[in-house]
Amino acid sequence: MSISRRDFIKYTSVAALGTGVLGCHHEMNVSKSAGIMMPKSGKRIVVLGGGWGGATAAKYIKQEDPSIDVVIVEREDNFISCHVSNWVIGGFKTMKDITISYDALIKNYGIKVVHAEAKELDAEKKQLKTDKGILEYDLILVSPGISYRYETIAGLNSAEAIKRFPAAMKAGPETVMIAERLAAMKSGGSVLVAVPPTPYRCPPGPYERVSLIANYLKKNKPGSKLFVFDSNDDVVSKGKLFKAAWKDYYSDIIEYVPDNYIKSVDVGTGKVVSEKGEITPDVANIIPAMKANQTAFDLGLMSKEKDLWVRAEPYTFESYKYKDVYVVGDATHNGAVGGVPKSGYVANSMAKVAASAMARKLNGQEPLVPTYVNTCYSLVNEDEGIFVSAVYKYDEASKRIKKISGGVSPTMNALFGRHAQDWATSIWSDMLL
Amino acid sequence: MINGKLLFFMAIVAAVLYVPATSFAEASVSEGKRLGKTCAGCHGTAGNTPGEYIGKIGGQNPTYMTKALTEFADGKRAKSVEMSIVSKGYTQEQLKSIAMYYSTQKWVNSTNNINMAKAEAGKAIAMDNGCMDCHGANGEGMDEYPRIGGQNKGYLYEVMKRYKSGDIKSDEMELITELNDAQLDKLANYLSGIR
Ligand SMILES: Cc1cc2nc3c(=O)[nH]c(=O)nc-3n(C[C@H](O)[C@H](O)[C@H](O)COP(=O)(O)OP(=O)(O)OC[C@H]3O[C@@H](n4cnc5c(N)ncnc54)[C@H](O)[C@@H]3O)c2cc1C
Ligand code: HEC
Ligand code: HEC
Repeated sequence: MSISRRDFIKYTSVAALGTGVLGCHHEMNVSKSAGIMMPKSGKRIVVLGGGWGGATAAKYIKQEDPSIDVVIVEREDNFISCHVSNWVIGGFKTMKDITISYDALIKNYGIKVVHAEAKELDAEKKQLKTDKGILEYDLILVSPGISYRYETIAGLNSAEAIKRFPAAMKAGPETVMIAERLAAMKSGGSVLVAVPPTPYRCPPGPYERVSLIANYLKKNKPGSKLFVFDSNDDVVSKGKLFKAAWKDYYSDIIEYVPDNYIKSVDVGTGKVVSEKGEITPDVANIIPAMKANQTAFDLGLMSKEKDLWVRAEPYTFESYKYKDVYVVGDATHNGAVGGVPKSGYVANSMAKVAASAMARKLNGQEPLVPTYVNTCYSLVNEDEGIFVSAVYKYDEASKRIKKISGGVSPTMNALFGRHAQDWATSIWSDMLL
Repeated sequence: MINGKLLFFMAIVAAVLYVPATSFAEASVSEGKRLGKTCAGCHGTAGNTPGEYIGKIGGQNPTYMTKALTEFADGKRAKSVEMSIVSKGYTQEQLKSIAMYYSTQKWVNSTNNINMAKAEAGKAIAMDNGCMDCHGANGEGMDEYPRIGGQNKGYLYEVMKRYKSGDIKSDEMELITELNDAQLDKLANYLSGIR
């Protein structure tokens, strides 16, 4: 890769910023001529994405072998948890509760965090190009999460429309937008939540959100209605449990319409046209269909032309496209890895498998037989929780992940609600502390 | 001379007997680590569970833990819904390895908030009922007696209620049926507060 004068200045300014940009206390060298940041000396694994998959992988690689240099590339300053972000929308948690810094990973494990935007991958040279410079690696793990397919809904693919109809399936400004709009709405108003077609991130996520918005309306905005337009023919996850809660608590608030996808939106009037009818809600949360994060496409990780998710083999999570490039989390292709939900717990499990396989590979060892777990807790109001949980193994015959044991909570109750809170604390600590 | 030889011989026998035993235990621990790493999503890294209502498992006794895991898998502790589902995903041998692995991890005392007045009252109840005779002066436990000192408060309270109601059956824990929920709450404050 050659380097322009403009890039040269950019890289130099990284060096000048020093600790600020890298979020860590070491002096970082920037080799100016090659545009290479922090030239590699020993074994190095670059981790693209400091979300559930990436943060877990970085920590577990270091636990496996502290001598490996681990560098996380993450565009955001802090980790913001998607899980519990529905509780912010529901009005009983704040963004502060779900924002966690990367400081402990840096301090406790010597992980380096580069806040930069990954742009291109040179799998031959083993280099990741970012807007702050080039990083060399021996192995790279990519856990970039999801992107929305705005283009599947007419009228939605513009900055203005996205603001009018936010999705908020990545926790952040859109989460706050929805919470604020609900708070500002008059009593007797109408809210729309549109559920995307599967596969999408966090199967129970939209339904937990529906429950908690209904709970909020019940307490704060009497007479309001919540319309749920579901692209799927039924509630995708924990259906019986969610529907029981809606019937018991929110029967006069929630209007659930299955098999009803969104056709178009009008940013001017706020009108939403669905297959079964039109509505102009006061507050709209439209979750479009999803695909692997655009970054996965930009890095060239798709092995087939029309693929929307990255194919990786689930024994180590090495991608089918490139050797030494591993992919975990929501971005993975269900057909290739097997039928696991796109959840944070699964991303955390996959990352541990990949971390172990990668560290062992750099030390000339064979990977261990993998194992995986999933759990998704959801709240149906401030107190009561429900969950789904499963244990998976690697199936030799199909070369895919297969369920061994699984089930859902028999009912909703306050103890499961407590467990839901504790689960969040546990898994955050497992990723970031 | 003969004595020396005999000692030397015994040392060899001991070494021969000892080596396979260690490597078996080590194999079990590394197998348990491979399988048990995923438990950390609910129980925290190395079983140091930071919340209140999920029990700490890092540093718990392997004998007790194996028994508990086996009973979860056999459906004998049906009120522990998560654990009933999860433990069915492993063989008996695997559960034993997982228990071995977590038992080798460091026990880290709970940081839950303790109501000091309740803890004082709880201490008196514990002394009156001889709880620590079985569980150890600091609730550190041993073999089939679980470690309860420094365990998470909410978990302790809930699990004691299950012994009381008979949802978990244990002859040794019979005496808990005599205590009411308010007393169990006090005990939970005392036990969790042992640090
Ligand atoms: C409302 C909601 C509720 C949820 N509840 C649960 C739950 O109860 N249980 C559960 O298990 N899961 C839950 N999830 C799902 C969970 O959040 C995701 O499955 C998880 O985030 C997936 O992890 P990941 O590593 O694949 O992606 P992410 O966590 O999204 O991480 C990707 C990271 O990569 C970064 N990145 C991407 N591209 C670039 C680039 N080019 N340069 C630099 N950085 C980049 C992003 O900024 C991001 O930080 C929920 C999700 C939502 C939205
Ligand atoms: C879905 C979350 C979840 C997962 C995954 C999970 N646990 Fe648990 N575990 C719990 C909860 C909740 C409790 C306590 C409450 C109860 O008994 O219902 C518990 C309790 C326990 C206990 C009893 C603690 C004691 O002191 O008696 C043990 C032992 C245990 N878990 C071990 C494990 C092991 C080993 C794994 C992995 C194979 C695991 N758990 C995975 C949620 C989980
Ligand atoms: C005779 C011995 C004995 C006495 C006395 C005793 N226990 Fe126990 N306790 C046990 C054993 C054994 C178990 C594990 C039983 C099982 O296998 O389920 C246990 C389990 C427990 C547990 C569950 C631990 C966990 O991790 O799930 C708690 C809490 C506990 N005891 C508290 C008490 C308290 C409080 C008292 C006094 C009121 C008490 N025990 C008295 C033997 C005893």
